[in-house]
Amino acid sequence: MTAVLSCEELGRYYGQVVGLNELTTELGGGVIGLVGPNGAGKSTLLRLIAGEIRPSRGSLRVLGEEPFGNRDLYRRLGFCPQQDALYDDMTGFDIVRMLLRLAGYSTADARARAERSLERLSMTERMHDRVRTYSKGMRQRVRIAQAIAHDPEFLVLDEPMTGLDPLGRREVLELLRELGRAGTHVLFSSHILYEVEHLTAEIVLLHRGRLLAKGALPEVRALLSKHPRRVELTARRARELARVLIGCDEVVSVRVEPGEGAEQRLSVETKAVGPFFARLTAIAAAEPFGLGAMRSADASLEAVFDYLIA
Amino acid sequence: MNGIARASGILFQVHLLRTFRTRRALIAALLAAMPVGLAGVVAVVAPLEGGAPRELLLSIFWFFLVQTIVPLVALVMGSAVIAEEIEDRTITYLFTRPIPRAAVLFGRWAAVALPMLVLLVGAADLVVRLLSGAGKEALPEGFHGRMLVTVLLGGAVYSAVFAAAGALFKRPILVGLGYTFVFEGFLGNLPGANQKATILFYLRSYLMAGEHDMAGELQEAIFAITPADPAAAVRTLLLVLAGALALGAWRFSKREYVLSA
Repeated sequence: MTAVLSCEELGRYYGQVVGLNELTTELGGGVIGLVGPNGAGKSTLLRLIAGEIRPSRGSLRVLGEEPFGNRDLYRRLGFCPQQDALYDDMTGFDIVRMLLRLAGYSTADARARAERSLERLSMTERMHDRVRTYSKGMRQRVRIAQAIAHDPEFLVLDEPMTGLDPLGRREVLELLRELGRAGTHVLFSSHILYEVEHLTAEIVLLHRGRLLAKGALPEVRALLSKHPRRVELTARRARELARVLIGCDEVVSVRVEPGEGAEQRLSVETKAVGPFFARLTAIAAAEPFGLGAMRSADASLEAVFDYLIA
Repeated sequence: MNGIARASGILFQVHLLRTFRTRRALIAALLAAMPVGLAGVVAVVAPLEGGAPRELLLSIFWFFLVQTIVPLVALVMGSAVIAEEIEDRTITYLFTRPIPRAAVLFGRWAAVALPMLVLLVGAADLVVRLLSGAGKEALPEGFHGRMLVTVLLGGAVYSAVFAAAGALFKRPILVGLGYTFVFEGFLGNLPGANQKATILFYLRSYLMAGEHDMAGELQEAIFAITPADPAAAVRTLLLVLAGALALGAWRFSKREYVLSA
C-alpha cells in the first residue's frame, strides 16, 4: 500500500525561523492525530501537505505525488486551513458550491454536494445566510464542509475543533470518525490531546519543528516517560545530597557544579521525573541539605511530556 | 485550455457581483465622478465666457481623465485582483482546487475589469458630452467615439498591468503609484523617444490619428514625438495587456504565499 504521506529530511524555514526541521517519516493512512504544543510545526507540515507552501529542503510526497501546485492531487485531497478566513460577503452555500464547481462538478452536482456537506455539518438552516452573520463555530463548519464536499481520499484539517462549542466538537469528532470508517485517510492537528484520543490512537508528535514520536498513543507515552531528563537544583550541602541521590533507582547521573555563595549546583539526569520529585521531597524532609532552587533544564520538553501525560 | 477557461469563467461569474460590494468599487466610482464634476462646472461657466476653447476640453479629457483618473481607477481595482485574496487569506481555497492558478488571475481580473470599464467609459461619455456642449468648436466627426475607445483601452491595459503587479509585488499600490506618476507621467511627457515606452504614447497615437490640427493643440503641451500608426498603437496596447496578464499569471503560478494563521 502506498503511504499517504512520506517525507525525507523535510525542512521548511521562514527566513531565520525554523518551521519544520529534518522530518523523515511515513504515514500509512487511517485517522492520525498530529499533536504538539504551539510552534511545534503542525501547521507548517499541513500547509506543505496541502501544497500551500514549498519545502525549503528535503522531499515530501502526498498520495505518491509532490503537492505544490499539483492539480491531480487536489482532486483527491481535502484541506481545512487553520486561518479563520472566508468570503464574508458570500453565503456558506455559495462558497462551497463555487469551490465544488472549481473542482469540476456540474452546477447541479455542485449544488447537491454543497447541500449535503453543509447538512453533515448541521448548517442546513443557516447555509443561505451571509458568512459575516455566522458565529466562529459556524465559520469553522463551513471550512470543514468545503474540505469534505468532494469526498476526498485524504482529508487534512488544521485545528478543526477551533471555535466549536462542545456539541459542535462532538459532531465534528463523530463526522471524522465516520469518514475514517468509510476509508478516508484523515490527518488532523490539535493541541488538545483529549480530542485526539477520542478519535484515534495513532499520533504524530512534533516539537520545535522536529518529529518527537510517532505511533500508538500508549506507546508514545511509554517512550516519553522513559526519556531521561535533566533537573537542576541548588543546595548548600550539594556533595552530600549528590551521594544520596546517586543511590536512587530513578536517577541516571548527578553532576556537582560551582554555584553562587555557599550554594552549589546539582545537575541530575532522571529517567522518571515524577517519582524523582517525590523521592527528592522525602529526602529533603528527612535531612536538611539546604535545598534551594529547583528547575527542569528541559523545560519545553517537560511541557510536551506533561501535555502527553496529563 | 478548457480547464483554464472554465475555471476563469466560474471565478468571473462569482466575483463579478462581489466587485460591486467592495470599498474599492466605491473609491473607483468617486474617482470617476471627479472629471464628470469638473466637466459639469465647465459646462455651466463656459457659456458665460462665450464657450470653452477646444484646448481646454482636450486638456480636461487627456490630462485629467486619461492620464490621471483612468490609471488611478485601474490601480485601485486592478491591484486588488490578487492582493485581496492574499490579504483576506482566502487564496488557500483556490490554490487547493484542481485548477490552473492562472485562472484565478484571469477570472478575477475580468470580473474587476468589466464593471470598471463600464464605469470609466460611462464617465468619459458624460465628460465628452458636457464639454462638447460647452465648446466653441464642434469636435470632428467620430472623435467622440475614439475618445471613449481610448478610455476603454487605457482602463483595460492599466488594470492588467496593475493586476500583474499584484502578483509580482508585495505592495502593488505603491508600485502602481510609482509607475503611474513617475514612469508614465514623467517619461510620457518628456520629449524624446522615451515616450514610446509608455502606455500613454500609444493611447495618444490612437486618439489623435488623422487629427493633425487637434493633435497640435495637445502635442505642443506635452512635447510629443511623431505618433505611432493608430492600428499599430492598438496592437501594441493589446500586446501589453496580454503580456501583463501572461507575466502576472506565470508569476502567480510559481510564487508561494505564506499566510498568517
